[in-house]
Amino acid sequence: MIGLFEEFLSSYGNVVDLCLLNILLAYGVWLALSGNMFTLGTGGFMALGAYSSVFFTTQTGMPFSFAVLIGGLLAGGAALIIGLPVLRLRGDYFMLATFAFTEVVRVIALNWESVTGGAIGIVGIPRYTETWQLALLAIAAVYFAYALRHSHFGRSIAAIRQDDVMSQTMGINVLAHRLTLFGASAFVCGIAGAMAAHLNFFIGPTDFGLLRSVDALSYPILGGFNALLGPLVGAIFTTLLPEFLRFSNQWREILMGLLVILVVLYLPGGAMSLLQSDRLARIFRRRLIERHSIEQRAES
Amino acid sequence: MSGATLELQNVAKHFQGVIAVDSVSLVARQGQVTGLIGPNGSGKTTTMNIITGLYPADGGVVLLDGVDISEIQPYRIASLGVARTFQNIRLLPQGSVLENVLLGAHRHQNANLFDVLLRLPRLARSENAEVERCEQLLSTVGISHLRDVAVGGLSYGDRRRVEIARALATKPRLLLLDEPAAGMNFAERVTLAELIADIRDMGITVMLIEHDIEFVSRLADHIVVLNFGREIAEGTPAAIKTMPNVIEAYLGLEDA
Repeated sequence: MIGLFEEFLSSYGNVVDLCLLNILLAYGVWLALSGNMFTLGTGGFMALGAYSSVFFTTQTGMPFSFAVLIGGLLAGGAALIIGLPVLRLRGDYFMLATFAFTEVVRVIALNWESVTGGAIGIVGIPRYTETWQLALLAIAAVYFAYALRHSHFGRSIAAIRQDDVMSQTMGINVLAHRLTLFGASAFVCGIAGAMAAHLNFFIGPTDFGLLRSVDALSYPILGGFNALLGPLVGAIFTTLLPEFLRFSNQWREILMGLLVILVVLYLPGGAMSLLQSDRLARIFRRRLIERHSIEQRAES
Repeated sequence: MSGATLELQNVAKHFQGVIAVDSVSLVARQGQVTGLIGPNGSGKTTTMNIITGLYPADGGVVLLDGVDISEIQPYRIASLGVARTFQNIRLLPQGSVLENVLLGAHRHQNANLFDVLLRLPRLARSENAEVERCEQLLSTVGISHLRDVAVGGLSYGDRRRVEIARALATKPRLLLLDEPAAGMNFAERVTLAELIADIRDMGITVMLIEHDIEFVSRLADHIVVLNFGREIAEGTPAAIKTMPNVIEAYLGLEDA
């Protein structure tokens, strides 16, 4: 059994690592999405985590775990700083501003040659990232998402997403909630960036651009961000699909694009909404009402 | 809990040249029901939005127990004990009745983010205490049997009750009700009036915005009449009804 598992890992290890990394990223983006923030800053935050952690492990000999943590904190700190002005923007403008942030980080990475290696990037990064570490982080992400959803904070965040004016009149500090979510999202993306950097031997400015941000945004949207496991399903699906479409590079991107359009049009709740369809919910609710009326009749 | 006194002094609000509230001064006394009435477009809801901080006032001051709250953010005003309902009911339709009411209890939860993420015992204690309190509020407003029903499927009257329960969950000292009786039939209005009287008897100051002068007259200790963004009359319900300018505002001048 263990032999089989090892054999599987040796041939598909890369794909498994990538899946786990993207699950982590998916929950990072989910944090921002749950506060109605369609962020394109993911690439920029990943780059901050990646470059800074590589700097600390290769230039200062800092332990890997510390370097990853610092990478995450730097990304989170950057989010708090840009968050204050940017969070006042709505919808498209917020997206544009976070996209601009990702571009600024990319341009800096391209030009700050002494630290980032410029356009060539940094080659020969030690491979510290292990599969079990990624698995642990992914499990932690799912657990924290679960804990958050099943608390008064989860309820308030859902309320902010649907009606922020009403939420304020309930005494909920909407700006503080959204800023915290944005910072936490960047923290997770920074950690994912640091883990990614120490997985691939190489990082360059093109690794963390707009494409990365859009990909990451599509995970929770495809999977469904209303369901706990939606981001996980979206991340795994989006990571595995290209493996099955290896025969043609062109078809891969066309199909992925088509899929996103189809899901947004016909399954706005994401793939997980198939499982919890409205009909099921309605039947369940009718049962509840019936049970209540039966209980009431029994009481009277 | 004891109610708060609300005082407005020359409050004004303009929207790009359109005067919504010209100059309103009024007092809602502690533990009383104050009615705010007036024809459509007279500035009632705008006044309420200024009190709760959703609109910054262009002039004048809003005093809560003598403290100026006109420059304060809405969530802070709510935490000072000002709660409200909305004319166009604002609930989360997919959430259950209890979940919606618990939203009002948010600021009374003791568990912080740390407790939540590690699921420490304080989380369960805090949540259970608030659920229990909200269940009591559900029975206060008379919708205990709807506890787990999604709000989207409820009748108009029941949704208004959910909103009132949610406002009460914030533990208000001042409760602002924006046309709570709109769209209700006679029987629903009678029970609503009883509920508002109960809320007043809890010691909460109530400000009641209404269209229907008869409904307010039965409840209010004091009535303020608005027209064209100004208060044109105030006094007891009986006195208001005989004032010529109030009759004019409501029925129009015969010769005009």
